[in-house]
Amino acid sequence: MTSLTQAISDLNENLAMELVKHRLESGYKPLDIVEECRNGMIAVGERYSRGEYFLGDLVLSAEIFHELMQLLAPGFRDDEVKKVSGRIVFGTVEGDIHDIGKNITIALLRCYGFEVYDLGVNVPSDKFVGCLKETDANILCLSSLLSSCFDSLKRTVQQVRLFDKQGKIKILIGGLVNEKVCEYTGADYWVTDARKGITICQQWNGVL
Amino acid sequence: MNGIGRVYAAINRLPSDRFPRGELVVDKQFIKEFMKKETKRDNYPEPVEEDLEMEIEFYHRLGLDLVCVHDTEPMHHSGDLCFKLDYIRRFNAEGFFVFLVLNGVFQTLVNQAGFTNFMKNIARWPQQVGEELQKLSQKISEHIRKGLPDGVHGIIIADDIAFNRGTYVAPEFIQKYLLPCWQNQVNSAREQRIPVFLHSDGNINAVLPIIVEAGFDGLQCIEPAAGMNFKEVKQKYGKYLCLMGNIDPALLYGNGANNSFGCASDDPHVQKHNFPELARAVNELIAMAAPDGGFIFGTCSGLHAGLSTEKVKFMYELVRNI
Repeated sequence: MTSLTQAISDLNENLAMELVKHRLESGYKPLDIVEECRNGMIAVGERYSRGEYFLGDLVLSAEIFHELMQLLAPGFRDDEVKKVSGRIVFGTVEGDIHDIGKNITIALLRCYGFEVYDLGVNVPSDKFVGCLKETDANILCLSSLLSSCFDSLKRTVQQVRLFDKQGKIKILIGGLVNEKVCEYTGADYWVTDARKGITICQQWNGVL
Repeated sequence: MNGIGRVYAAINRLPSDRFPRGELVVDKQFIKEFMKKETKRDNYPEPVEEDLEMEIEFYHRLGLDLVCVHDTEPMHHSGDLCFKLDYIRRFNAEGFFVFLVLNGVFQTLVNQAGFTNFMKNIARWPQQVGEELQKLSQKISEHIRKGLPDGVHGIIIADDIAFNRGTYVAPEFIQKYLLPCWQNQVNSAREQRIPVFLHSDGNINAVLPIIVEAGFDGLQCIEPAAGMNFKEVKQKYGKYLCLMGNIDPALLYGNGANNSFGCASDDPHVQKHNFPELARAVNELIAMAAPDGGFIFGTCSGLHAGLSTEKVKFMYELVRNI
């Protein structure tokens, strides 16, 4: 494990920032530095899985990662930025205000290097479409814990399909959902577990 | 014996005619759906929030012994507690044990800062967050000391500190910063001779000793879907904590009438849930929980719109006949 990977794994924010600055000054390629950062985030995820870290640590690691990416961003070419992080639009659909599962999944997605646009809770379908247009994200994650919001899920999926005529956007639904709900809403996949959600997003983006 | 007597008996492990029943939350829309089916009456007024008589009839029909009254304007908005006093008086007059549900300090700061920010702040500046928790706790304790509305019998501090995998933050943080807050609140209530329960969703196994140390009289939720084993909790902590809840709301999802998806979970165990399975879960819980007292029957998280009114009715009729 490199010193930078270790610093991120230890959530040592200041040291990680110093090490990134030093690497940039020493002529390291930004993408190589990103790889070290990503490994640090994976190490954080593993420590979380072992019960060594808690959710707050996971969220802080995502924040550190974001700050490090900002340091590195000026050195990236556009096509490199796209390689670094898949873009995801995420939100709880209209009519539902549950956000814990959404927040956990977003924290994990960021750990794995995804750029996530969190639209919050009770999000109308047109807001999802607007954000997808603005960000050029290719994944939409919709969360709902209420059976009364299945129609809201369906409406959002339909609106996105109308806008995304070329079928570039993959839609993942999560929360209290199942295969039947997935079929009903027309989403591409469903999960009830954050980790599985990460894997699906990684597969869709060709990371796995 | 009425509901007030039964709940006091459960908390104090005293003899009673039966174990009490109660829900942390009963959604007004659920009450309306239930009552429409029960009474074949379709002219309940809108908004449903205003129909106290319908609510009281609902509680009696289900045979509930307690009512939880929630702060209508959580204190992070106004700084004051705000309850419908006429409701409290009326519930009391009907013989229901009245719990006031107050947002705990953890929950309040989550609401104020947003979940992600709050988690980040704890990881980064635990001591400062601890100080904020302490300040807020003093405010809650002052409210309790100043006196609660007439007709209130108990308090439930609603502090969601956990999810399915465990606590959101390290138990060490809870021990160091939340425990003193909880102790302070419990002590304030004790001065008023008011019992205090803690509600938290999720898997709180790692912090049960801390909850006991805080001096709470009871614990509401004990969520099986999060890996909470009622039997173990009862064996280890049943003499310190009156346990309330434990029926998994997933058992109460509709089977077609309310929910065309059969259920809203991918869990095969949940998908198969039907009336016999609900009956088995209820019987198992009562067999485990009721004999030594210190138990209040109910679901983990309350009755919400979308649950099957038939199953809820079936469950409470079953309990009534045990």
